[in-house]
Amino acid sequence: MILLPLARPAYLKSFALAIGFLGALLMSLPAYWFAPRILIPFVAAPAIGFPFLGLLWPQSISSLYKLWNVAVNHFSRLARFFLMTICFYVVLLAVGRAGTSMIVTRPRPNESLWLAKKTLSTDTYRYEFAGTGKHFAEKGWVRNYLSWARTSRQVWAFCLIPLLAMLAAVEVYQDRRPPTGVYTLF
Amino acid sequence: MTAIRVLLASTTALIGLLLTIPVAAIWLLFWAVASLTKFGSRLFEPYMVTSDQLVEFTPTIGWKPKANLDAYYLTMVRDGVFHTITDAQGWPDRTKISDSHVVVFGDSYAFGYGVDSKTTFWRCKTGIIIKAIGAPGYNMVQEVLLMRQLSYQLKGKLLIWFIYFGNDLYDNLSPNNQCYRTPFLRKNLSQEWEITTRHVSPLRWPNKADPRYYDKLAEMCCATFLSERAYSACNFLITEAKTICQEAHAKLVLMTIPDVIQLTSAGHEKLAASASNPKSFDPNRPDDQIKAIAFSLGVPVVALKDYLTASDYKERDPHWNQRGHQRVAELVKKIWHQNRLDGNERVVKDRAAQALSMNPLSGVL
Repeated sequence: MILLPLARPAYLKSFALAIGFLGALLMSLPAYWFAPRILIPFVAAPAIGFPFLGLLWPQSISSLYKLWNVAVNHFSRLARFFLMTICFYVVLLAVGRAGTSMIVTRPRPNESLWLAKKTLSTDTYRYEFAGTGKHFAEKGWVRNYLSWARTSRQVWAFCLIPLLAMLAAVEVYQDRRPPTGVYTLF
Repeated sequence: MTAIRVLLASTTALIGLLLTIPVAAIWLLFWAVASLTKFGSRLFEPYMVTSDQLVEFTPTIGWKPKANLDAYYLTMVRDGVFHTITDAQGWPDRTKISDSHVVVFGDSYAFGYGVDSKTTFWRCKTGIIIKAIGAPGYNMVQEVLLMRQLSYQLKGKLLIWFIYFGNDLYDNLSPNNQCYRTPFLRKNLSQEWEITTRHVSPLRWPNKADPRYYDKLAEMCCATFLSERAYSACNFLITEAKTICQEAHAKLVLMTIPDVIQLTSAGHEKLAASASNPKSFDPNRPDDQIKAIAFSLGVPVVALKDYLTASDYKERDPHWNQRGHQRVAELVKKIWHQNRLDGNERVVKDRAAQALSMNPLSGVL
């Protein structure tokens, strides 16, 4: 969602325009409020410079394009850590203070509380782990999560959805496989 | 307890959300740039087709480019998209065979894969008209079958046949190219080569094994069972092509195309490292073998390794770049001129001989 696709000339040109536009937009706000005359060059430079470079020599901004993706990856890692910290140390810790509904039974002598796992039929072996490899950011996780919260009577877990949605949004994933539909021998 | 939990969770989640405002702001910036980049790229890149949409099934040959294409396709992601045009039969460019001076048969090199159609060797302004007949992935067997099919249009033409060492020699013996079924050569019970097309159909070939073409090319540079077999198959195919051209009154010239790995010393080392029989490794073996076959058959051969350098090839795929196409176009022009001069000399000699034989005094003199 936030990672730039593998660089090809059209993306480089478009990236240059996007950076120019957003750069100028961001710089124009302080320029408007504080010192218009002084900051005009700072607004004009990205607005003209990046598109000019990108459209005429797309390869000249390929380093910036790569750096941008490096920054996205760093941001993603830090943001995930930050969001999970909030989930745990702010929300879960507070909810935990309300006590537990789990009934812990002490085993009697010579008795085990382990439960036997019901095995799957051999027909399902190839599908057994199919669901585990799914990406967190894939569609449909909200429905599954709500279903789990409802069936397990953990209604409070609904409140985590905005934070989990943010976690999904900051996750980055790039398909490193060669693109399909391309003739190539090697 | 549930109500307390919900109350605690909603309050703390709200506090948590407030804390995440800086993260959301930065995310918004990254998202805006990514979205604008993806959306804006449509302004700079035309709609492109996949490689499957470039070709279609055709009986016997296996596949050919779709007719009347005017489309863009992607090669390597970083290289972007390239334009291609095909005629009503599916061959590159709209030029007709009948209007051309030179007809080139080949694979993706003849197709002009990896450069825009306007910069291919058949579009370079050399003063001669070149018609290319080829498609990505073709082996020499498919090209011989095409020569047969089009032989009635080849009369008086100079026919240049591209032989690419990267995969052609091995693919002649293989029934498939990735998932596509291809005509190939095999020996029959009397140990003679024959072209096999019975398995060719639109169905996907089940074996997806990687052919490891560089390893195969290294083997073609050695004296091995596979290379002996591949050159024997080449001999058969070149003989077939020569016969077709003789019957069609066309002139056949072979043009061998080295892979870029064969043009540098580093490439030679890389090939030698994966050679199955290092003692017999010789990077010039493919050219030497084809030259020997061509010499025995009296077919001229031009080795592009003597004319091209690594800088005539693209960086990220094995095809020629614009400069490479320009060089090949100039070379094709030279061959055509030379062929025309040779043809004129022959005509003059024939006429002179004819005049002598018709002169009633010639016998006396």
